[in-house]
Amino acid sequence: MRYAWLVIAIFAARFASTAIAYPAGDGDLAWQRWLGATILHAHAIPRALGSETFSAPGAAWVPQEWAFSLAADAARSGLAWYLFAGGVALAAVAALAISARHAEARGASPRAVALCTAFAGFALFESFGVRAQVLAWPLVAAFIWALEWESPWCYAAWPLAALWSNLHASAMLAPVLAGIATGGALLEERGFGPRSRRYAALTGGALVAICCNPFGWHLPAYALSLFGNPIKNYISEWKVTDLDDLSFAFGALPLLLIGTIYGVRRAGRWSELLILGAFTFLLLSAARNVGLFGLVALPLVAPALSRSVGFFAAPAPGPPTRADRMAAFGLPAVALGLAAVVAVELVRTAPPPTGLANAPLAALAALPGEHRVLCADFAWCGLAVGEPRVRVFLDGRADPYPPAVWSDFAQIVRVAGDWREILARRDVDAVVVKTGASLDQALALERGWRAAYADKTYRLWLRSGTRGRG
Amino acid sequence: MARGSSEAALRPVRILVWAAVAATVALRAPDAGALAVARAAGARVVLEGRVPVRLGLDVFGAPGAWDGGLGWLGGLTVWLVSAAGPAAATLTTALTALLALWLVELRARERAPGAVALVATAFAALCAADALRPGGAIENAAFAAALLLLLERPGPRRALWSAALAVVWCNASPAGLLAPALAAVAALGAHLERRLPAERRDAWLAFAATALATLATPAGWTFPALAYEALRVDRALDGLVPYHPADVSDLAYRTGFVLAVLAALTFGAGRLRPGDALLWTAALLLALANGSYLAIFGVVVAPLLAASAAEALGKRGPAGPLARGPGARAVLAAAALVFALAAALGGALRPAAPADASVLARTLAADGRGHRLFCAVVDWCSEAAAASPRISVFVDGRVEAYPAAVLTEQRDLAGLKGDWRGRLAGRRIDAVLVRRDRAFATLVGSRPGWSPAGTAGNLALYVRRP
Repeated sequence: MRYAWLVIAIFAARFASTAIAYPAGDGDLAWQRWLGATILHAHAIPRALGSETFSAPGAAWVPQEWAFSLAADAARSGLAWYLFAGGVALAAVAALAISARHAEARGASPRAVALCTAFAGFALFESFGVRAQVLAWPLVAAFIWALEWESPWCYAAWPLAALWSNLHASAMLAPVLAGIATGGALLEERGFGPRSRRYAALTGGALVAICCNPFGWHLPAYALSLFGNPIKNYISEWKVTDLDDLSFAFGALPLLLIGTIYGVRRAGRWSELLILGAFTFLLLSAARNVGLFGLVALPLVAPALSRSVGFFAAPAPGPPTRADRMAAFGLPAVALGLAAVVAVELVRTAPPPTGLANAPLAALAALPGEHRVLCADFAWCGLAVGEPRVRVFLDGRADPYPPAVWSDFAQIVRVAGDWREILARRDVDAVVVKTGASLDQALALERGWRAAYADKTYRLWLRSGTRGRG
Repeated sequence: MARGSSEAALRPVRILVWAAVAATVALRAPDAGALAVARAAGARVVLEGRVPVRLGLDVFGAPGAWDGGLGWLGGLTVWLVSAAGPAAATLTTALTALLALWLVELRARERAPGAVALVATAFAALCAADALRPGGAIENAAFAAALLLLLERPGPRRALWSAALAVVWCNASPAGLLAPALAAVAALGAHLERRLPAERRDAWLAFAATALATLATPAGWTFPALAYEALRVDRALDGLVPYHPADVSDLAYRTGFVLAVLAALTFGAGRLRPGDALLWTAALLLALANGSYLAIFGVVVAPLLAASAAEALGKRGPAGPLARGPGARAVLAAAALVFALAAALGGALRPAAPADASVLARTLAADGRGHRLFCAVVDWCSEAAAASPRISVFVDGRVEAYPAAVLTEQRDLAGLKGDWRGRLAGRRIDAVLVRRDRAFATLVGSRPGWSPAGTAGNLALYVRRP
């Protein structure tokens, strides 16, 4: 870890600066804060979309981010925001540190750990934000490590899975990973031996653990339903990974290259290979899995690099030299000091957080009456969720909206086919678009619409004659 | 004796694999668009009695721009084969695919037992799943397989043979530029492996010969630059051409490519030799850069995976390589069969892809007048121009020949950016070919003077009435 700490410290500065400067008016954070406030007000977690949407009120909803939302609501500005955003950055750093330590425990040399930690850090870049899934990262890393413990401590995987399920629905991976490890152990032991039995118990326990949340078994069921959900076609995070994704090109791909060149399978061991294989499949299936792949690959790829390349081989044991001590303590201390300076400066100089599309939506909210708004990027409409007189067509909660709503949304945004009829049928009376986008141009040609607000980036269109309902 | 009986046991499996590949080629709908474009290019060579090296009057975006006659030999071949009927095209494609797989097996057998080599061959077939049809460019995989076989042979003559092969490849397709790239990787590998000085010298000689061979085309010294653009691995063409493996070659990406990566994680594709590591890295990057090259990826890496797998499996016990046991052999044979059948079935289930752009181009040309056509996707314009001589297109698939400003204009027009209406008028475009479910169709259709002239598949044609 002596070099890896330096790498981790550098990434800590990067994550902290990104998190603190993160737009607090981001659409997803906005609806998550609304969710947190709603939970506090009603003393219950909503289980269906409400009147904040007009396209699918009453649709079943599993608000998996409920715990994150409570924290986000409590950290709207000031010191609370810095602590909250810093905490999310800390989760990402912790994930990297756990994976790096795991790699070291598996016999990787300091050089190999440092290099692979750098790649894993890059793999996290594009997925990083003040998001609920980031809080799940250290739990993924810890869960995978716990699976390898030969002592009774391995059962710590159960409470980890339970905690994970209260933070993000990706907790569904916990029993899957344990199940894969069970399959691997069955291959290794050529039967139901002690390791297989332990993994099977871990799998069963993890299955129960991920139901230890306010939604019970509905949470894993919801996560499973996402696999076949056609709405993935409309969300960029679900697109197939390719070289355009910087986190893939400079993070996951180098790890994949090292793993595929040298092979990660140790003689007689299948579990780790099967787990990495599963995450490789996920990596190549959707860009959103790049970060997770980095965390899982780091502890498996770094030892392979140490075993295969002389430069990365573990050094011969001996008393640490001054250079070793410098590498172990001095450099990380300097890096952490710099990170602290950067973070403090950001806190002092960061402008007040501003939203993305909040100006046109604020303009809409200021108009009298009720409005039914469609945002060309559905995430923008998260800013309007909970506004008293504004109801949205689709927003960043995304998953609970039925496929028919998504299909209509895509038709409208692509200005395709019956888009006018759909706008009319859905009774949309306000549209927020980027200036110059296809839909913006199309609405400009329509007689029934007028621009009510415009800035350099956005335009708000209102159906003519609409001054709001009510 | 044992080797002979093993060979006999493998023969029916090999025949099944080959039959599955041939059946896939026969069942798949040809890439009618690519065939039409190649055929038209070949016809132009025959009609003019020379290789045209500049864009003709069939494009008005950059008439007279230098395109070096890239791929003229491939076009001529398609024209000649097409003259013998569609069955000839299918037969030629099947034979080319089988040749590529045979070469893969030859390479694999030099480093792995027969059964493992056969599985590797099936792997390569799976990676080529989307190319196993007339017009699918499987010939590039065959060229790559042949070149690698030559490069891995010892002796100074390989430089000569490699150069000869590279000359043919470069004239047949811009992908011939991969010849010196593969030779460079092989030479670098020989260096890293610290092979004998004579071997290293021969490897670099082969690289030099293939590099020189790229100049032996009508494009001359401009071939490398033009061919590099035509390879479509450069992100500078983003927004004009598809790159992403899953978009270009979905079936091969989701099956062969993913399986190859998983196999490499298991066995380590470059574990045995530094040269293998370089070759694997280059092939992986090429496949990720553009899915069109998944077939080449397959033929390059399959023998490496076979060698690694044989080495890893052979260490497992005193009984020797896994492939020698009769039970294991059956498992391997079954695996090969499954791979091959998956390729065949997957190919058969793919929907046919009629050349919608050609159909609409004929509709457009039916009025007997000349037209200036804009296509939202440049390859559609290649098909349209090939379908009718009356149609002049703004930009076609030969993107490497166009000036950057014209490509920017094409991109802006397709993206409906800026004053796209003014640009349409300024370029005197009187027909546009667009996807019917996209904004362009709606917006151009709502312009005064423009009206729909037909649809085919996902495409819609709009014309400006005089």
